[in-house]
Amino acid sequence: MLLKKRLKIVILVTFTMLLTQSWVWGAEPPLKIGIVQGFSGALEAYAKQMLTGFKMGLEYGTKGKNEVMGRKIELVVEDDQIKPDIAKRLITKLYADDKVDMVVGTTSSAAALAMLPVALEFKKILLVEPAVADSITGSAWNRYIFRTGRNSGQDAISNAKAVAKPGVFLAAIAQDYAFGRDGVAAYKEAAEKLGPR
Amino acid sequence: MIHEEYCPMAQTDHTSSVQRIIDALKNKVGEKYVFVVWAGKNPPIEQMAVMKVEKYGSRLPLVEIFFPF
Repeated sequence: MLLKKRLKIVILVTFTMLLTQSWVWGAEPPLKIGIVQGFSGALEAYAKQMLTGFKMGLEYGTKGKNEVMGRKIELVVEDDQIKPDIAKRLITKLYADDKVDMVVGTTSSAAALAMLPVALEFKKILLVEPAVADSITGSAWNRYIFRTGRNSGQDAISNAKAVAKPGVFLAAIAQDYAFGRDGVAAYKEAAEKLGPR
Repeated sequence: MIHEEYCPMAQTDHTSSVQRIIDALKNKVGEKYVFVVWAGKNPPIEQMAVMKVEKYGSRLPLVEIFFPF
């Protein structure tokens, strides 16, 4: 039994070494990451910050080499203009035509929601950043969806704790799309538990 | 929560939205807060200041507000 186990480990290690070597020789294709953000439109400042931060993160994480296990990291960057239909078309193009390994995006929650089913269809990872609507990792979630940022619910609970108590009156003003609607819904739920009308 | 106001994305003049907030809060006695959920350009804050929301005893906890430079 023990011998068999050891043999298995040796085979595994050898196999891994072989794989690693071929990467070192540069035979492996680059690791492609698709980026979808709303670079034009009302949220452009968020989109630019995201891309700058992402590139800084890659530089930091790879110690300036921009490669993982010998594979270069290549970014394919697209602008969805914060429109759900364009975001959906772009993520489909990235998976199907550009053959990216994963996609990171997008800025608008409404556009992000339109992208979620495409990740499921292609069985590839979609890392949502920086859209915050709760539904992205809630009711509309599938197993290929991850999110690095906070969500509306977390924003709402912290704000509700700061002001909500019996005898307090609350009103909300928000943009009429997923971000605004989810934000108010989360706040209302968190605040009304604490007693205001 | 006594009032929820949703502004269309294309709305540039928030006067009537802010007026509905004021109408909902002005006759209430007690602490009042307006919760603003807004991303990107043209937030209603300026209009709220112009229309003196604070005169009606309302304060603003902000969840998400961003002024592009």
